[in-house]
Amino acid sequence: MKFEPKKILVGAVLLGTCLMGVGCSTVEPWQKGNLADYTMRSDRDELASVMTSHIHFSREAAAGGEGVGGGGCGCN
Amino acid sequence: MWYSSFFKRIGFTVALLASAAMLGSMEKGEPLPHLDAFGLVGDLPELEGKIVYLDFWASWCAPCKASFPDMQEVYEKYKDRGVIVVAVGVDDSEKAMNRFLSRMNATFPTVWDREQKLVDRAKVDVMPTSFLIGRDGVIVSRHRGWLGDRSKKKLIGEIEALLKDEV
Repeated sequence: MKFEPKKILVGAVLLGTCLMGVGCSTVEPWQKGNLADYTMRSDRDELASVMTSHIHFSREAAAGGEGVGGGGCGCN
Repeated sequence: MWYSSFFKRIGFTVALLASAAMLGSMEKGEPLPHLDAFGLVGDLPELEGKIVYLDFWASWCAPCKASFPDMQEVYEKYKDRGVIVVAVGVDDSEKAMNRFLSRMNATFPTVWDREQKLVDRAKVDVMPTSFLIGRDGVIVSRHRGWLGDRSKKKLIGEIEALLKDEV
């Protein structure tokens, strides 16, 4: 059998593309029920959201007040 | 080169597959496929000779929820003039779907696309998506999403136009 590097290279590229393609998956619009679930929301826990915004506001000055009192001094 | 013919063959195969996929797609001007062939669960009404508004919805989709009272209104207004609304639920969960329906109090026919074959065929890219089909069974328009009064006015305008053409 004749050794043809170009054929082997093209074959390897095609095989690699096929293998990478296996990892791809598309979620169709009608399959997004789980993604639309309330538990997928980042703000589903109101208390945790308030505490997080409090930390951002008073320690990092990285976010707006969002109803949390204080001036960003870190003392509240 | 040997690989140019190889890639030509691949290109031809891809084009063939793409055209096969396009065949029978649910687009404007195409006939509505026979719904009996998709394993829909529920009582499918007689659609022949009627103006059909076919809506794809899911219980988790907020705009679908907003569209139901408007669809009910349209159905009540035109049902005596040969217009029918058919809502196709695409939920995975029958329980969630039935809970949604019991809250909506819809009187128009609803069926469940349990195997999601019809919604796949319709190539729905937005939820909800709906189709208006003329009495001849040909798709007149495709609606993407539901924008409240704007969508309702558009739908009523299209139904009125279809009814006017008959006079």
